[in-house]
Amino acid sequence: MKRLFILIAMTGLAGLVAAQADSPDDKNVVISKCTREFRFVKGNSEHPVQIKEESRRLYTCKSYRTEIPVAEFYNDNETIDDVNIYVNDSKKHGITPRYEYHNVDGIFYSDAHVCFFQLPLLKIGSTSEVVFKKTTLDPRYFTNIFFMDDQDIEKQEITLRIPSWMQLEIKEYNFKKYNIHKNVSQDGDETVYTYTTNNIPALSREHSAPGLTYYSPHILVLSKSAQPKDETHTYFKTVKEQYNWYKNLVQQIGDDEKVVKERTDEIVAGLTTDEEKVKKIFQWVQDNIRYIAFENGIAGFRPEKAQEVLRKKYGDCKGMANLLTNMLRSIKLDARRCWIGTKHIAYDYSTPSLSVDNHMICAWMNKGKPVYLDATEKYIGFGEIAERIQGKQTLIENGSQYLLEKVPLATHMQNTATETRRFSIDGNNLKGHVVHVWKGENKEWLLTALNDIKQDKQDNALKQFLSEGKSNFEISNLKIDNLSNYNADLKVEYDVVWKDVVTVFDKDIYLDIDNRRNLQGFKIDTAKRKLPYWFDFKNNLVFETEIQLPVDKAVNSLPEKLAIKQPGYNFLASYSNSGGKIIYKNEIVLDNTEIKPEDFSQWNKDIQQLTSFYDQQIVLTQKK
Amino acid sequence: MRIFSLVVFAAFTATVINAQSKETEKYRKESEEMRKQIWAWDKPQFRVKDIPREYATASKVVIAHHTELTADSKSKIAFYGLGFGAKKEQSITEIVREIIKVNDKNAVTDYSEFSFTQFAKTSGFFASDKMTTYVGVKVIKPNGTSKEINADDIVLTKDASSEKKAKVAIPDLQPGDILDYFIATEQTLTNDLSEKAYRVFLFDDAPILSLSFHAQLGKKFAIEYRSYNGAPELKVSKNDDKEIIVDVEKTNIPPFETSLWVAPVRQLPFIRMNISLGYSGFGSRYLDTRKPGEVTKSLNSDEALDDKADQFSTRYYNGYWMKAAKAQYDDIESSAKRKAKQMGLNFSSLSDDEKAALLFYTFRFNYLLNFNIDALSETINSGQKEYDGLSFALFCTMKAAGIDPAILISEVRTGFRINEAMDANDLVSTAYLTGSKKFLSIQSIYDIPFQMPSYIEGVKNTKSFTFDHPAAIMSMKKMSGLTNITTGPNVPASASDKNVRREDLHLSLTDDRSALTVKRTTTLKGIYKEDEQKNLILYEDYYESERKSFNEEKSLIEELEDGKRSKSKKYVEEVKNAFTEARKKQKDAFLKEAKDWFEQDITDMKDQKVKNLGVRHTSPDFIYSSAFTMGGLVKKAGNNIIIDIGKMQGQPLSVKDEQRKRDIDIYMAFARSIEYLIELEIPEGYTAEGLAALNVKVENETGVFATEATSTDKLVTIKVKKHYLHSFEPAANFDKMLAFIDASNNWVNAKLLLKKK
Repeated sequence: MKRLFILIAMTGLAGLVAAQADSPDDKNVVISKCTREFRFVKGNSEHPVQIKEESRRLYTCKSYRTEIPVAEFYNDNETIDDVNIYVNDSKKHGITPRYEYHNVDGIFYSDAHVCFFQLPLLKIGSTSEVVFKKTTLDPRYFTNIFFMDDQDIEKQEITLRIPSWMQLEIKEYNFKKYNIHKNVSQDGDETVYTYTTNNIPALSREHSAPGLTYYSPHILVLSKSAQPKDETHTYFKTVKEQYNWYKNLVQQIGDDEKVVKERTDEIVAGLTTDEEKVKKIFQWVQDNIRYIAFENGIAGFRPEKAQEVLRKKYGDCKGMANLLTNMLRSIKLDARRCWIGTKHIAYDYSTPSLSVDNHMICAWMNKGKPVYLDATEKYIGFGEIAERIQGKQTLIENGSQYLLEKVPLATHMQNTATETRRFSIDGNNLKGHVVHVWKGENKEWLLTALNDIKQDKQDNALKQFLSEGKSNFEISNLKIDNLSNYNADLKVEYDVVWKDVVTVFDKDIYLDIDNRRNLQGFKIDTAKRKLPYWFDFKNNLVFETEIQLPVDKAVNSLPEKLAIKQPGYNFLASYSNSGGKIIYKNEIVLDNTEIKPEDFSQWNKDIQQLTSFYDQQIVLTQKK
Repeated sequence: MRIFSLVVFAAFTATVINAQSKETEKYRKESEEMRKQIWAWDKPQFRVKDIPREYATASKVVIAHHTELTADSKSKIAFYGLGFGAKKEQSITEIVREIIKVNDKNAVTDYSEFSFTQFAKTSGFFASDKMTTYVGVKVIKPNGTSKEINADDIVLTKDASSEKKAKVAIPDLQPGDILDYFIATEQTLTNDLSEKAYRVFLFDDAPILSLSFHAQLGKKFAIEYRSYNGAPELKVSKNDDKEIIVDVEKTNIPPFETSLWVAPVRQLPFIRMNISLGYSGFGSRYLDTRKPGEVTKSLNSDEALDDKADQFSTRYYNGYWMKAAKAQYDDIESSAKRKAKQMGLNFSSLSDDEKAALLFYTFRFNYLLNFNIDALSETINSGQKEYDGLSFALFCTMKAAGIDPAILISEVRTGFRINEAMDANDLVSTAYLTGSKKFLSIQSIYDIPFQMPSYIEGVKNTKSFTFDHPAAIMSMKKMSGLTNITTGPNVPASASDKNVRREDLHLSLTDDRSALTVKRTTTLKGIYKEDEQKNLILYEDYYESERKSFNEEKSLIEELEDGKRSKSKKYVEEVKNAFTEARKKQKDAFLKEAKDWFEQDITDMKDQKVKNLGVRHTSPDFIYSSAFTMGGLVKKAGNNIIIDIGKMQGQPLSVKDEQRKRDIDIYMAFARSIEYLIELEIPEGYTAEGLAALNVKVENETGVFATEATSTDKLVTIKVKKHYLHSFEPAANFDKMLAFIDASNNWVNAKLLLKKK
């Protein structure tokens, strides 16, 4: 769905300039003054209410002359009406903005366009100014205004002029940490909201971080209704109107039940229970429909016809969700389309807006209880739920009404990955058998990686992965189970000769048996990291090794056990010696995917302890 | 995604306006016609459905790949505004059709989206050239049913009148399907007598059951061709209409998997063709055109060499002989003389090599390191710039100063062999001194005099260019006939001890005995230097070092503060700020370099310093040092400590299973060596054990991996050396290479025990 894109585009300079984030120009160029005025105006019959934006950004060179990229995005619902560029107050600079199609990662085709140019700052202390005039053609698409930019903003004034015929609500987010002042006044017929800010830092771009709406100060504009002339235009007064708008789009799809039913019947032939059928259909869509997204104009919101997705064998999330819904319905199962915002978005439907959701899935109502099916997760099993939608509120279609439900949270157990080794000592080598089992998103991650590799290279690639590229970890008799059945655990087993891992000094044997060392050294750079760290998903990594001791050897020394239990994660590891065997267990549990900045220091201490634990060896000695 | 860099006339436009345009309608009809014609090709290789058993598990199999090239020409009378003239129009149609069995998801992903760089129209005074491309895609299901894509599947991402770009997502493509597609490009060119290069590659990373090429060129065209590395010969004939007919075909081509140390141009089969519109009219002698209908099988590189000679003649005439051009080289000489004086040297009493070096440094300082406030960021990043060797400029610099230089013309050691060159660009040029046979080349500001570029190391059968006085040539071809071609010198190959990375590492345990404190000095020699120089040297330091070498009194900043440069007082603060910013980043660069090299947890970087820039032939080594903490190598084992000393090597190159069977020769970048001198302090109360097991030596004619560990009470000393003795090895020597490469890999597991007394 295109909403995610809108969210990014609204930040102004995001996207194109991301690569600049760490450039020395970060503090070299600041926006010394930014004024943005948004004015609701009466439009034409096609677009009766429009929003005119005029933004002026005055850039100042603080340190040394340079150039910065400037970009402004637009699309079918937004036009750029005018661009004025001043370099040292002069319009004689020879800069011509370029207007191009904007390629958004993961989207095959959209109506996203970008206007961009390089803006010179001629010398220290000099200024360059950029003025954009833009129009948003429909208040539905005018959703949020972010107060951050790619440079520090020293002074900023954001004004919204709302005429009395326009009803809207403004919600403020993430204001606390910043110096933001709000003023509401009346100017004739218009209510004027003015936000003035001082010293807003530049957007921080860090990997594995929450989405912008979690940390950037911004306002969400909830357009309710308007009476620019006689007629009343209702937007999203409540979630009901938003649902009705979506429902209306759904009614325009034009699905062909017959075509869908024919194919569905073929797929479920011979199956008896509903659950078996749903599983089969879900996996069929996962396997056969490629994710290719067309998000131009209304196609960003209206799903493609089910029969077209069937014919083309590709579609976006809406296309897949709509196809699944139609397929299940064709065999008389209760299936619903569900709108949802992925975890990246901080909002829920208490603030009805196109910015709330960016994704669509299908729910099979099994005895009235939704079972969520997201076929864009190519290798997830039936009943498993991806982290990105867990706990998120979803808007489920329900005839003329709607349901608001929360997608259940899964525990770390859903994604358990275990590795179990049984070894004996053979000279300087360990020899034995290894079994891996991956579940949930760990399984999905590995299957995605494997299927990206040419089939005749997969075995070698898997061996490389398992041996971590180390030539002394020699794998043979590799067996893979459930490579194409995502409803079962992915299992791999093999024999291994692990060469030269046994070190003999004099009469003692030294062994370092954990070469996985999960999370070793996974420290967070507190000097650089400002935003919370988000793991991709909750995790449960279990690593067990059993070593049969040679009859003439006894344990001299085993490392002390490690038990770190914190809210959100546990690191447990221990060695034991019984029945002539050494048993090593290591379990890493991440049951919360977020590490907050205030917890970084504890996390780093715990990681240091874990790393120190790994840096210990077993010592065996000759029996006397 | 498969990206075709083709120009496509996008008639399948999504916009209503264009869809209804006459132009589009015309295109639709043409497109229809083209598809009908191509799908109807009577070529049995496109009807094959069965895949040989040996390729059953391949990701994809190219069942047939055929290229059809037709070229035609005509002369037209045209009005050019000033009068009528003849214009030569040529139309070239290239159709590439491929039918592929798509066996897995990887192949489906590969072929599921086509992006076309689209329609382009270029308009000039004499020409209005355009390209029109037609595409057709069919998906054939295992049951034999076939579906063709339609207009709705294509979208435009650029829709300008001079250029259109399109994308198409291929519908209903699944593993097990056969994809049959073509891309046909019609080109109309006016007054274009240039050669068009075509290459037919007879290898792919997928198996090819049939590969063929057919061309039909109008009688006014000319063709020159050559087969490389065992590619079949082209069959060239003429039909009754005197058109040139070209054919080549090869079947059952096994997949070639691009692997380690390959020089494709020397090792893989392909055919090159140069096709041009022949011209024998007025001025053809000087335009160097081919005659209409001329068919040339390229047997030697004489033409390429002559073209190269002509290019240099013209450059010499315009770029040196002309007074204004020569003046800049005279300036360099004057500047070098001035610098020599500052340095207390008498320029005229220097030897030619010494003069050449000083001229080289002057050229580099004045031109490549020159501070330019109007390009501040570019100046600071001068180190990232790449040059082509600057053979001509260096030649002229030497020549102007009265030193006897020449230009060496040679092959690239991994490129076309000199006797197989078809094009002047197949050959490279390097300036050298005829007396001492020393080379002068600049690919980056870090190059030093007399170091030959790695890409010509070891080449033989070279030529040497010098130039005549233009006044002596009594010919119309005055500008292009100045080059004297003689036999050039052989280029030596550098030995492994000339391209060195040497790490001097002094190690001690941290106070808590959980990590190593490392004091590191790295010395890089020869070809190994440049990458790290780019990462670690600051422009300001480089400039200052050179400035001091020339005994220039004032630093760059002082000079700017003095206001000697135009208005420099006004901007000196900015320069200081920019230099400070660059220096801040240098520490990060040191940290990154250490992390990348050792692949261990590196923290607490300090004392980072470039000790010697390595930018002078008199002091050529690049030396830098730093101190840091390295985690991950110290293991507690009861009361004892184990040091994973082998991991100090980082992760040495390992040859993967699928790369170990090899039947083609080995082309590496250069002979090289990596050496470590590791000193480990033995902590109080411990003894070091296991030294004997650390000693390894594998040595043969291709290289060596050897370690030598010794110890005193307080210090363990380990010397590690790995040498790749040559840049080239015959395939038969691969096992020998594996022997020392594997030994180095195994040594990664080497451990040392510090035993509690």
